[in-house]
Amino acid sequence: MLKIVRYAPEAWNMLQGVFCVYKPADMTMNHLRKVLIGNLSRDLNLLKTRPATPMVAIEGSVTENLVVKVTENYADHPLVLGPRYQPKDIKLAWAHQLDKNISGVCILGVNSGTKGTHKVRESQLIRSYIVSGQFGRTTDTLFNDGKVIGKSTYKHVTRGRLMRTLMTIQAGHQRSALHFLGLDPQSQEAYEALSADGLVRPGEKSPPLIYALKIVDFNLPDFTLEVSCINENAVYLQHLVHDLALRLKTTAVCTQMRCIRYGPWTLQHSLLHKHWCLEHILDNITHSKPLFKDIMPKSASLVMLKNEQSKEL
Amino acid sequence: MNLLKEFETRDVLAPLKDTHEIDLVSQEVRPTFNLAAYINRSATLQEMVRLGVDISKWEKRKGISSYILKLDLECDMKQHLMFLRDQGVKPEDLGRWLTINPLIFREKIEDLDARINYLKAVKFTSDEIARLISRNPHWLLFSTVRIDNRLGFFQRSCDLSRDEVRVVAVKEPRLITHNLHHIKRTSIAVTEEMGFDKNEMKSLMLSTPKLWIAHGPSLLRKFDYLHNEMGLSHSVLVKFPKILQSREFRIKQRHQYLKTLGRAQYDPQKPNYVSPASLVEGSDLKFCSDIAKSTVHDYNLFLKTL
Repeated sequence: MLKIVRYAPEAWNMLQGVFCVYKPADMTMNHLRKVLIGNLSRDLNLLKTRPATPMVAIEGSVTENLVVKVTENYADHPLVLGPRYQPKDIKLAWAHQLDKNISGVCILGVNSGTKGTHKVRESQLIRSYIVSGQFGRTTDTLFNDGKVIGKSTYKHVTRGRLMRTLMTIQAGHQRSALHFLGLDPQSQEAYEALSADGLVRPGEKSPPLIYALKIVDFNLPDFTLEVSCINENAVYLQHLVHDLALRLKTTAVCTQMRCIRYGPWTLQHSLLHKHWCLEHILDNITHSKPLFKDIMPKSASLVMLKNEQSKEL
Repeated sequence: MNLLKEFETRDVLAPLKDTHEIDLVSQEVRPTFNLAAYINRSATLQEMVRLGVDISKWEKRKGISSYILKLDLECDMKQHLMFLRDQGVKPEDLGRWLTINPLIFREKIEDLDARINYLKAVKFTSDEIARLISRNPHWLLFSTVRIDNRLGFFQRSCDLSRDEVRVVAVKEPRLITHNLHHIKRTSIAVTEEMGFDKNEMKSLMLSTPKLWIAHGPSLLRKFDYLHNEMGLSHSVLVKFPKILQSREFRIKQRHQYLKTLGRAQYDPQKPNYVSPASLVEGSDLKFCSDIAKSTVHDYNLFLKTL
């Protein structure tokens, strides 16, 4: 059901909520924020904005008639006050700050949706990344653009060896997940949490925790992994690639990091750079509303993921 | 002042000698940070708004508001407005013009006439002069000597003839009054860092002088990608200078898409040639249907893998 909005204040009232954007690879979050706010204020000003409210003036002299007139008020004219919607009027916050090198799904909240981004962050949703790396060299920044500081052979690395290393890492994380539950490991609640259906999520802030590691592509020297994790950042993912290679007795550098899922939000929900305008963002807010409703976990410290999310892992 | 002092000390209940005095007691004009507070009383400012000037932009610059408020339309501004209209600035364009350059009212009319006479002596036609002044409001603030020096600088640095300097100036009037340091830096970037030779630089200057106003580091990055990643030689870039002016992300996205399709072929000798100009021109719809021979939907899916 489409609704045509031509009046800017109406569009402004609808511009409240959480939406999802595809962040391009070489853009910092600060720049992304400025671009989005600039686009939104430009589009709002193009719609029909509030007309200038007229001024009530009392003219004439006390000795003759005093006339009350409604005159044109220049003080309310857009050319005098400035455009009706200015960048400083719009609030925009993000749920997680993606690094400059990471592209992909990025959740943002506009105006009253900035409270929504808090909720998204506290829900500790699982994020899935496609991390691509290349065996054979290592750089100082652990990423493609750094200075090469080491080279090694990689012919001995096979798919099977890589798979086994991934399993080892994943098992290690699942063992340490127990600690982050915040429960006594000997207690009944801990036993129930581990044996229950679905995955266990840490109750409060924890170091990065990996739930699933898969090989997507293996084409020496390049390889691509799918990582599902919580509380990660770009540096952690780059270290993951680096450590992985060290375990395989070679070196690797990370070439690309892409976030393909953020909780219920996937690539198909996210808006490309060319679609960052008022119309598409309002659409996206509407589409994100049902996804946003279900994210908050039902119980406080011992939290289970929804079955659908764990099935997709 | 005396009237106000009298009002303070006289007895309130006694009737006024002359009721006209009440009309004189109006709201004080207090200091403010906003020209909107004064505009309903000032005919000058109202006339400016009627012409289409964006006064909110004047407020943002230091010293402009206090300068403008002291001016009077009849004595100080009318002559300048008529001068601009006579020189060819269109009336609907005057608003934009004055928004960019309100300091024109500081220049004497004799000085402005002298500068226009200089331009006529250097053989600019009146149409060209109209374009120079309209597109670059700051031009008239430069004295004859400065403009002469600037035109001479461009003539020497790029080996242009007098006619060619005129062509460049008319094509991009903002270039002549642009920050000289920035222009010199860009020229060095073009010859030393990008590796164009003198003739190629001259050709670039004649076809797209706008490159010298652009942001230097972005230009270098673009060139790096075009030359090294895409393999376009210097002569190809000189032949299609528009590609150096387009956005970096567009070049990268479209090139990578063509590469995945196997259609990234920029050599005219081989089949399936894609001209660098058509790579960046046009909307995504046109690009996908004509050049990539695929759909916009497919292109969008590809963009989400970058």
